[in-house]
Amino acid sequence: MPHQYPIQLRRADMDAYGHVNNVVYLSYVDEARQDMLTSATGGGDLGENVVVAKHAISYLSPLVYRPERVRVDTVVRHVGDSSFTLAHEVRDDETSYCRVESVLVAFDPVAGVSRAITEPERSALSGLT
Amino acid sequence: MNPATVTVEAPHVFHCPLRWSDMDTAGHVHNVQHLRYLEEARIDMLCVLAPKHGVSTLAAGMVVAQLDIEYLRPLAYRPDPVRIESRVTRVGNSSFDLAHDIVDGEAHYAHATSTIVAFDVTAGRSRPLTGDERALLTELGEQPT
Repeated sequence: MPHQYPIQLRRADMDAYGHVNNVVYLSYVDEARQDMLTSATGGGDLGENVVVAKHAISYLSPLVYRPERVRVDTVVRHVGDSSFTLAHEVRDDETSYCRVESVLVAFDPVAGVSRAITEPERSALSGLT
Repeated sequence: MNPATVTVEAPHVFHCPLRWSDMDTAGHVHNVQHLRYLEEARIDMLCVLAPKHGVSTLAAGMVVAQLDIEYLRPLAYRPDPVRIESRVTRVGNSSFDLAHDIVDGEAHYAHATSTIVAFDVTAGRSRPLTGDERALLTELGEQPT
């Protein structure tokens, strides 16, 4: 069951082409990831202390501002030693607008280096496949 | 905006200033902002450089279909611009691929590739690239001598 996060669009998300700007989709995903990591790990620090290693973004369909929300569906594709892969979809019931696959690395902010994913985190992430 | 300069490093170089507010709470440029820098470089290539070479039709209707980015080193705000080095890696029938590197004298911050599709905005569908567009894009794939 994917994590689902509603996103309220803003008219100013659109650029001169009259569509939500490419870069803005990533901010929707950013917010959904934050919510997923914080709630899935029971408020643990994985939400704050991760670094994005890479994104692969596919723009599928243009999105025009409307008051009805879109949502970001997120599943966990893979959990490694200190990194994990998420797959996100920005969509509504009719249309898939954008897909993003991201590799995140768990980070120790004090030591300034990556850290191992803990067993409780691993278990929580594995529940979101 | 700074004009594109053709250097031995890449067919297209764009000097991109950072904004202080690009940084997030970790004190590094937020992962979303790198895409803004790439967008600026792409606009410079297609809307500033291309018309200077007589091709004005790449300035509108260019749709990003795919963008992959790897974050290699964190980037902090500083007044000096970063350099976005870009080149065309594929010219297709109605689309082309770009490769970008965000660098400066010290470090390689990110590498990205993208696929851009030429759209006929009125018809609402992709259109073939013209001969002039293909020629210029091909030139932007070669290392200048």
